Amino acid sequence: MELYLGGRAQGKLALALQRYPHAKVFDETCREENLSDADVVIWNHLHLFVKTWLSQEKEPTQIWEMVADLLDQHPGMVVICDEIGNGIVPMDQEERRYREETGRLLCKIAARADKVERILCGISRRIK
Amino acid sequence: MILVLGGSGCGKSAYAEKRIQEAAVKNHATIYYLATMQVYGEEGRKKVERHIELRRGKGMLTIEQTREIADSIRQMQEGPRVVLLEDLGNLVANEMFQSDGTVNSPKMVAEKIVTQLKMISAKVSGLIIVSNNVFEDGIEYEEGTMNYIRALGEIHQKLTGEAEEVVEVVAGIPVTLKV
Repeated sequence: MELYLGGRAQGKLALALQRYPHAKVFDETCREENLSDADVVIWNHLHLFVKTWLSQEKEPTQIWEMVADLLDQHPGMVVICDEIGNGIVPMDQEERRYREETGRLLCKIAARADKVERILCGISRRIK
Repeated sequence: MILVLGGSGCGKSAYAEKRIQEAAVKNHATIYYLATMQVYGEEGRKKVERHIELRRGKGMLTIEQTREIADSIRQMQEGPRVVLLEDLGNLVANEMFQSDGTVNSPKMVAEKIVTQLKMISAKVSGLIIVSNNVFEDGIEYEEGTMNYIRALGEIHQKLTGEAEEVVEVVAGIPVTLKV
């Protein structure tokens, strides 16, 4: 499994598609049941999933179970997530939680990943 | 001096704890944890007391020092000691925004904190400072917050000159910026 991190519009998905042109991209707009025949699955916009799950009052442990489940189902998956935690800590509790829990989830995914890359201006730097 | 920084939930605390424990073993030193967070209310106090106990279990003695960080030296025992400060972001806020509503200038705050951190560094076998990357959200805040960001940014730049090591933690992975 690979994890790609970076700010908005830095070319994370483009890089993943360049490496895996036949991959199926899965994001907040599509359902996961049509992924069974995919060779490689790219899971885009992980942060938006976290946001939705938190708004549905899912606990971090439940979130991790769902994520771990998906990672188990698609061992070669490329997970893409925006880096959202590098700012002033928001006053709003929900916004704060969103950043914090996305960060913590990324630590767990990164620990499991074979490869972690950070992408800026389309240029990737492997950090694991 | 080691500066460890990162964003929300990036794993910087866990990494810094690991490093300070290694430093303590190497120097046969006592670990002091400088807690800079201002605690409000009974609930906050209870939470903090719990964390102090948890750290005691890991062999760390907590000194709560929300401002005038160099005053913590007097509260440490003689003998080898290493210090973990968490976190710089809170310390800067506490030094900057006074309880009477006045706001100290970013330049003054930065100079004061850097001077005091150097004083601590000179008196201990190891100092690890945990800080926050608050610089990349692209939001134009009101003047107070912008000055806070400037102060913290300036301190980081000054400290990286002093530090033997600067590490950014990304998704729990240490990325070395300076060795």
